[in-house]
Amino acid sequence: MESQKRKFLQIIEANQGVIKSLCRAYYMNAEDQQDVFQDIVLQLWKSFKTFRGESKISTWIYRVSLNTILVKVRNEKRKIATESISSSALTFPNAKVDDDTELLSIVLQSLKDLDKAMIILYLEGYKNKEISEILSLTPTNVSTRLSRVRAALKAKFQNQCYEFKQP
Amino acid sequence: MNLNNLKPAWQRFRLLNAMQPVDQEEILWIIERTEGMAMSKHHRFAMNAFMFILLTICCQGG
Repeated sequence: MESQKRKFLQIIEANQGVIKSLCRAYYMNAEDQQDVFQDIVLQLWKSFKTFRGESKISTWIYRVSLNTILVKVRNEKRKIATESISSSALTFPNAKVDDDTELLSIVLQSLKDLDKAMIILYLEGYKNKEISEILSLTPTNVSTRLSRVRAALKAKFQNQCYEFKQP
Repeated sequence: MNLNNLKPAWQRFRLLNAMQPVDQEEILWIIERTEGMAMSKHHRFAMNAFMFILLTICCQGG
């Protein structure tokens, strides 16, 4: 049991960047980030006992973390305000977007929860089939949703990106 | 907008979040707390079962 805990600690340590990034992508408030981090660690620990190593550790981390977040967000009433791109105009902060990380943050905040999970996995380099397995969707569903999100983002961010990319 | 342009930004964001050391005590606290909770659940169940059996035996044939 102790060796299992040690191994688990090492895995969390090696993948904390992923877990914390996901917490930050969905929650703005530090307290909420801490709460969801604890929930994820708990779910990972529960699932670690039955993890047979059939998928890569990073894939397992993404699967458990994103599903924990999506369930939590769905169950929460006081959800972080994330506006759907399709339903409302995206509002930019007064400060000009000055680097890709900030642009990434704005893009993520503008997405619906499931779309956000898909885009994060896409940015991580997962293929549509892998994304569909991680999020328990069909590959067709992933492909359709990704195209829709891409088109919406393109329409919303084209001008800003152009302005931003100029030297 | 090309989403692929944001891939390096996601990598940077992830690296930034990996820089803070993990609090091992906190992780242990989280996983041991659940074990404790599971144990106390079993303990409560055993106690209730015992009380039920005891009361059933004692209250028979009154």
